[in-house]
Amino acid sequence: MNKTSLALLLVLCKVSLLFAQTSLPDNNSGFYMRAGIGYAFPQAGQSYDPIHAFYSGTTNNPVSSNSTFTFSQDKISFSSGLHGSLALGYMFNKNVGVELSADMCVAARKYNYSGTTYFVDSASGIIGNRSVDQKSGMLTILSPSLVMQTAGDKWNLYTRLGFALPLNTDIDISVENAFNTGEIDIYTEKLKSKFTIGYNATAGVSYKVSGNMKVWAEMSLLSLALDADELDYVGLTVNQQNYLPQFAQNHPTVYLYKSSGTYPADNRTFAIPYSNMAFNMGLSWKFHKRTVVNHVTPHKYNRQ
Amino acid sequence: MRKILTLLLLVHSVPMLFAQDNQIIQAKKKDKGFYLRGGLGYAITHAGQTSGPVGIYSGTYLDNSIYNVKAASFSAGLRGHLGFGYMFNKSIGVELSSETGMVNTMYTYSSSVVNLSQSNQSSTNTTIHYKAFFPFILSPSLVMQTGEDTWNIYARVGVAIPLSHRIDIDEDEVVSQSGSRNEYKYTELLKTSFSVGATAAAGVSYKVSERFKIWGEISVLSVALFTKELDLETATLNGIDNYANANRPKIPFSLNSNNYDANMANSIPFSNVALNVGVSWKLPEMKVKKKTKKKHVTPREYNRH
Repeated sequence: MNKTSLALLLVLCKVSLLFAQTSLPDNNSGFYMRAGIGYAFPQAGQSYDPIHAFYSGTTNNPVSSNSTFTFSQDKISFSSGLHGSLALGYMFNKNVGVELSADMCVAARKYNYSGTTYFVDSASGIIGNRSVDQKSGMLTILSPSLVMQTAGDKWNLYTRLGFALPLNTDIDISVENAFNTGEIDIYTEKLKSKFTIGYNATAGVSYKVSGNMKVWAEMSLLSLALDADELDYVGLTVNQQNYLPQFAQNHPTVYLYKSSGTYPADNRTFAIPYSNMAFNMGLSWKFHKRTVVNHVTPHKYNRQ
Repeated sequence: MRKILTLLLLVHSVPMLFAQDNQIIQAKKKDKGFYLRGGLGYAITHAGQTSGPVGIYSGTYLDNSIYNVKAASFSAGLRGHLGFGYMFNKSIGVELSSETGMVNTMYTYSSSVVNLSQSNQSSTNTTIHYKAFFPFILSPSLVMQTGEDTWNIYARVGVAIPLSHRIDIDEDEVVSQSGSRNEYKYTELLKTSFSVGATAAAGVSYKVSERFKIWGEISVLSVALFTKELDLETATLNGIDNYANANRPKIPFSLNSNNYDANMANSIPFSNVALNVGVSWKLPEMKVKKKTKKKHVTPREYNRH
């Protein structure tokens, strides 16, 4: 064996050791998109509605000394129901990244309170039942989050923690009072709330279907409660006739405060429950990384 | 000579290749193992509520119209943390942690109501203190971390199981009427129903030594419990025991009226956001001694040696 072969053997040995030391090139960084649907259940819910008695449930006022007051109430949260989510994220490396997601309540759960003999006037003999429906509109939660994952080749565990910025938080309320005189009053109200930041946390698992596509499933938590700000009357019918203009003159918007200030105010504010626990699933797609191609000039090409 | 040199080269290189794999295996073994975590933190109200089954938690209320109320959460205050966890590898592990309320925030509600009717001029001044009694929450969690050598980012997500969640209430009511003054004092215990919540944390740790790390994190606890029973513990009138004359020493609460004579249950806020700091210690690995069989030497074999 000649000196050249020996030298080549030396180089080959050293180079192979170098390759053994270096890690595989990191192709886990980059942008990705995520979309999914899920269903949210109330978490840390409440039952008592300071304006209408209950958010969800039934009451039965006694009309005689032989009957007793009975009630049934449910714990609720105004972010429960069917959700859709869209997100854009960036992984700095295979383990850590950031994400901005939008979670929209596409079919919010409607809550009903039914009060049998809610109004009882012994003197006149008038008895009335009340039915209240409450539902949030297209509640949207914007969440900037930190993402962490195990970055396995096929299966991947991940967590996501961040802030929850609630948008479009109005609650639509319909109140129907039906009296034994035949009168039916229907109030349409809108409850607005003050902006407050909440938090969300998620743990899930994803499976790599192809080079850039993954399917994922997760459990998420939203921790949020908003203070009621104002109650607007947007409609009133009495036996299907519009009575809103007359009513609005004497009953303007009800403002809700934590402090009455130097003058007596209408009502104290209260916390509206928005926390939930949700099961979600969907797809994510990793964007291709752009690679720079070295152009070979004809002059250099000809030399080779 | 050349053949010997070539052989020497190969003999030198091959073990080094295996040495690389061995280093990676040893590094992975270092990342596994049990750890203990301890720390302190301060929690503030999150998703709080202003009023409950006995009235406003915190604030003032004057003459049925002028008021100032604040949101309350009964897990706010100084917290102590202990955790015991196991890392399966450098990225993922599980932990069982506990959060104890060491110094809990006391909420005070005071009201003053004046009745100026000609037949009955009176005033009632009421002060009520609410405070949780050593709330204790157990949290089995999933832990994920970047697993870097010195600085490490981690996240923890899990279930919150409240094991101690009662609230102590002290009420002082002074009724002044036509020159007379009566002071009623009550101490009550509000029991709550069990309910599971959720907890999450994100933080950063710094490796001080091979086994010790210091860490700082922000955590969120989301849980609300419903009232179960209000027990009257003591009642005095002008300093004299008045328990026998107290009305309804035990008030049950329920979500429905199947429980006869029960009041309507209300949710009690226990959610918080906290800033915590502490230390963690990686436990030494337990080495298992392998038993080796002793070879018995017969006298005949022994003599041979």
